[in-house]
Amino acid sequence: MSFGVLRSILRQTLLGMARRFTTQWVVIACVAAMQSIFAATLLLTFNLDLLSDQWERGGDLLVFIKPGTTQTEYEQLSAMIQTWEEVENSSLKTPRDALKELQKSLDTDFLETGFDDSVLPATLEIEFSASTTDEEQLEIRAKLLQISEIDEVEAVTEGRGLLARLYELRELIAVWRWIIGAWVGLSVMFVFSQFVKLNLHQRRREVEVLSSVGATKTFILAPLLIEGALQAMLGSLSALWIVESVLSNQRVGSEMISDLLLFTPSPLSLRLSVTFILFSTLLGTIASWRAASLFLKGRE
Amino acid sequence: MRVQAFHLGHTYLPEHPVLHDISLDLSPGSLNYLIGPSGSGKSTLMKILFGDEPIQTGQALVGGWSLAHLTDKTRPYYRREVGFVYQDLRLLPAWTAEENVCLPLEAIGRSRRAQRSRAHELLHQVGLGHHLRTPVAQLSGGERQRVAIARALVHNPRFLLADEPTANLDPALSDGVIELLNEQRQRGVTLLISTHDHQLIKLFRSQVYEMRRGIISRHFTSQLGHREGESLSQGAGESSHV
Repeated sequence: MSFGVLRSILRQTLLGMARRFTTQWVVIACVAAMQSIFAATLLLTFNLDLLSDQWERGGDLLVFIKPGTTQTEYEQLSAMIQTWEEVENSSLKTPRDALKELQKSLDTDFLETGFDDSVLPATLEIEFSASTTDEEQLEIRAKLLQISEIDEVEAVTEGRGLLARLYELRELIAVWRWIIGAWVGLSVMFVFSQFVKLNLHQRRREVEVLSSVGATKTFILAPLLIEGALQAMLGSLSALWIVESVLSNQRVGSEMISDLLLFTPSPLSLRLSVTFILFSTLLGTIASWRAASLFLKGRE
Repeated sequence: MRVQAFHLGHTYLPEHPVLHDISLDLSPGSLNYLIGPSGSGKSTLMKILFGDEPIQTGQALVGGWSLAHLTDKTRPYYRREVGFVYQDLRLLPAWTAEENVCLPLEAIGRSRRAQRSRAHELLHQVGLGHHLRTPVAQLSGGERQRVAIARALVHNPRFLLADEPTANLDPALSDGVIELLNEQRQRGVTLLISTHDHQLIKLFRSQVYEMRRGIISRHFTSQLGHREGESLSQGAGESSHV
C-alpha cells in the first residue's frame, strides 16, 4: 500500500468520524460503561493481590512472647527454635521492630513520640520446612514441638489461616474476573458489530460509490477498522478514568480499608492498564472487521 | 481504448436471458450509442462492460483487460481506467461538489492538492466553478448531472460509459451533456452512451447499436441532423448553461 493511499485512508477515517460525531460519542459511552465493570473487577483483584503480598510476610506460626522477656532471652529462644530440624526459618520481632512495622504500614510517624513500644508484643515467626497453609497440621506441629510449654511463650497462633481465606477470596474473584471479562468482551464485540452494521447501512451509498470509482476493499474496510479501534481505545480509556476517579474520590471507603486492613488500595498498574486498553482495542478492531467483511460479502 | 465484446450472454432468471449473443467492437476515441426500449438489456450490457456484472457466457476485452478474468482484487484497478455515469448519478448528497469529484482520486491516494486542482479544473470546465463548496443536495438536476460527469472524468478514464445520462433532463440540457461527453474524444476516450432519446444521436456522427429483447437488432452510423423544432447551434449554444 502506497503512502498516498495510507494518507487517504486516515483522512477518510477522520472525516467519517467527524461527520458522525454524535454517534461516535454514543458508542464510546456504551463501551466505557461496559468496560468500567471489567476495569472495576480488575482493580479489585489487583488490590487483593497486593493485600495478599503484604500479608504473606508472616510465618507459618506466630509465637507471642511474654512481656518482660529480656533481649538475651529472646535470642536464646530464637536460637533454640532454629536448631529444630522441622524449622526452615525463624525471625524475631522485638516490640521496637513491631512498632516500626506498624508505622511503616500506616505510613505515618505519629506513633514515634511519646508512645511506649512495650505495649506491643514481641513475636517470633516460625516457618516450617515443608510449608503448609493447613491450620490443623500447623496446630499439630506446634503441639508436637511443645512450643507453648516454653516459659517465655505467651501464646501460639498459626499465621496462615486468614491468608488462606484471602487466597480463596482472591481465587473466587479471579474466576469471576474472567467470567465478567468474557461477558464484557462479548458485549463490546456485539456493540461494535451492531454499530458497524448501522454505520455501513448509513454509509452504504458511500461504499457503493467508493467501490464504483476504483477503491479497493482495503480502502473501504480500513477506515471502519481504524474507527472501531479508536472507539474501543477511547472507551477503555474512559472506563479506566471512571474507575480510577471513583477510587481516588471515595475517601471514606479508602480510610476504612486502611484502618481495618492496614492497606491502602492502589490504582491499576501501568502494565495492566496498557494491556486492558490494547485488549479492548483489539476486540473493537476484530468486531469491526468481522461486521464490515460480512456486510461487503453480502453486497457482492 | 478498444472495446470488444464476443457473444455475450446474460441471464438473471433461468429461461429468461437478458442478453443473447451480443458482439460489438468499439474503436478507440469513438462515440457509440446504445438505444432501445426499456428492458432490452442496455443497462446490463453497460454493467458487464464496467465489471459490475460477471460475464456468464462470451468474452469482453477492454484495452488490455479481459473482463471474464476480473476478480475482486483486480476489479478496482480496472475501474481506475474506466468511468461510469450512472443513471441515478450515485452522488453523495451531503458532500460538496468538490468532495464528490475528488473521490476517485482519493481512492488512488493522490495528494489533496492534486485532487483539488483536478476537481476545480473539471468543475470549471462543466460550468460549476461557483459551486465547488456547495453540497450536492443543494444543486439542481442538471448541475448534479454535471458533477457526476466531472467525477467520471476526474481520473482520466480511457473508456467512458454513461447510462441514460440525459434522462429527466430537458432537450437543451441533454444536448449540453452529450456535447461535454463528446469533447472527451479529443483525448482518445471511447464513449458508450445508452439513451432513449433518439434525437441525441443526430448531434454528432456516431455508431449506434439498437437493442431489442437482449440482442443487437441493428447497427448503423448516425446521420447529423437537428432536434425537431430547434437548430443544433441553439442546442449547443444553450449547453454551456446546462
